[in-house]
Amino acid sequence: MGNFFRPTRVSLSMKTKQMKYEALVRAYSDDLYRYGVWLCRDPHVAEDLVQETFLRAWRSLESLKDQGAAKAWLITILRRENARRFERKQFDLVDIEDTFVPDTISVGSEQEVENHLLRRKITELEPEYREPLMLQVIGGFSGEEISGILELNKNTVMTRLFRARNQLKEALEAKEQYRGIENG
Amino acid sequence: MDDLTFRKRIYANPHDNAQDIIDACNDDKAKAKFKCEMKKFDAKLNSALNIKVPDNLAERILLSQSMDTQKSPKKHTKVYLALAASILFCVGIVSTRMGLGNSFDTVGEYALAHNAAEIVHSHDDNHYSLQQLNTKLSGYGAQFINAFPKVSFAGTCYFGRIKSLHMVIQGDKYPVTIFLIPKESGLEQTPYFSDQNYNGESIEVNDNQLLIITHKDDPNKSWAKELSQSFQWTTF
Repeated sequence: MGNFFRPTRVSLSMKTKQMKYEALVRAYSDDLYRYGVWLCRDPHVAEDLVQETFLRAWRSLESLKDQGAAKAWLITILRRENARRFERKQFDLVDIEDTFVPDTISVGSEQEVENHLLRRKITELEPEYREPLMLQVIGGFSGEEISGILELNKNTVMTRLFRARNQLKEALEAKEQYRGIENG
Repeated sequence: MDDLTFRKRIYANPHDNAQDIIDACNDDKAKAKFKCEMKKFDAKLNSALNIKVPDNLAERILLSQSMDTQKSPKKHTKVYLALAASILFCVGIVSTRMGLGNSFDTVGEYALAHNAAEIVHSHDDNHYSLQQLNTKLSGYGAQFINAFPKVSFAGTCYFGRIKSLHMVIQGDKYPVTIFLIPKESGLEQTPYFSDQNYNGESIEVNDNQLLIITHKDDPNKSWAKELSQSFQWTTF
């Protein structure tokens, strides 16, 4: 019977799992939420997505062997959950704004004007350009990691990153030029 | 490195510090300047993407997980496994019949636990227009009519898996918490509930339950009546 009851070991592994999970939530929930908002462009849906992502992560935490890959693993779960949302079709939403531009942490007013313009342009980017850019800027992933997450060739990822930044920079420069004419 | 390749590489990643990029910057000042500009642009991009994260997001995720864990506790031994399996089987039947699985028996208990877990919202100080609030309420077939109370927090939350609306109203002395949830929550309904600090009342309207939680020391004892009068309900 001595070998039969192993409460200490079991509760220890449960405790370790809980600690590991809490560390993951605290380290990555903010970035996952931000990424989610840009992915589905709705803060409420993004929050649901993040909740669902972490619940799934808890249930299959054993499958995460490499701690260094935790963030990419969570992002993959979140993308899958988002895709599932479209399969289900009727995700019961109440208030969707047509042109959603999220609030950012408050900064100075001039910066805020520029931020607002950039955010609008980001929401207007094609999803295939927006997503790698979000993974790079918010997620801090390298080209190789992004190509792994999106299941794309690395060259394709780099080209999309180039086009995404190019489009945004042009939009911002056009605005500055316009402002110059207006002031002159 | 030719100019076009350099620009493409920097556009794709302004923080590219590969040796050939460093060499190109050392050889050509214009290239170094361009890289510096793109890094500045990336800082702007970073600032624009830095969306405000809802307060206590991590805490709420951990709360959902602990509720999820309570649903299926880890079984310790084979003996207990068999025992737990049969208990879970019974619990499964009961909770499936009730449409929800968690360790709370009544809506009131759940509401009080939820209120305690998210008590921080009672100090929120948001301002909502009548229209904003009514957009949130519209999913529950409700709307505030003109004399609506001062709402300092309104957001979606979950009763188990049931989507509901969580609001905090600022009273003269104590905040009042309101949950608006569908009637078919799967939990037993009780008209009155309480714990050490809070009293709760449940009012059924159309297909919804309006749960009103007030502090025990709140001098205003007619919150439930006042609040239920400030809603107007539409039937679907």
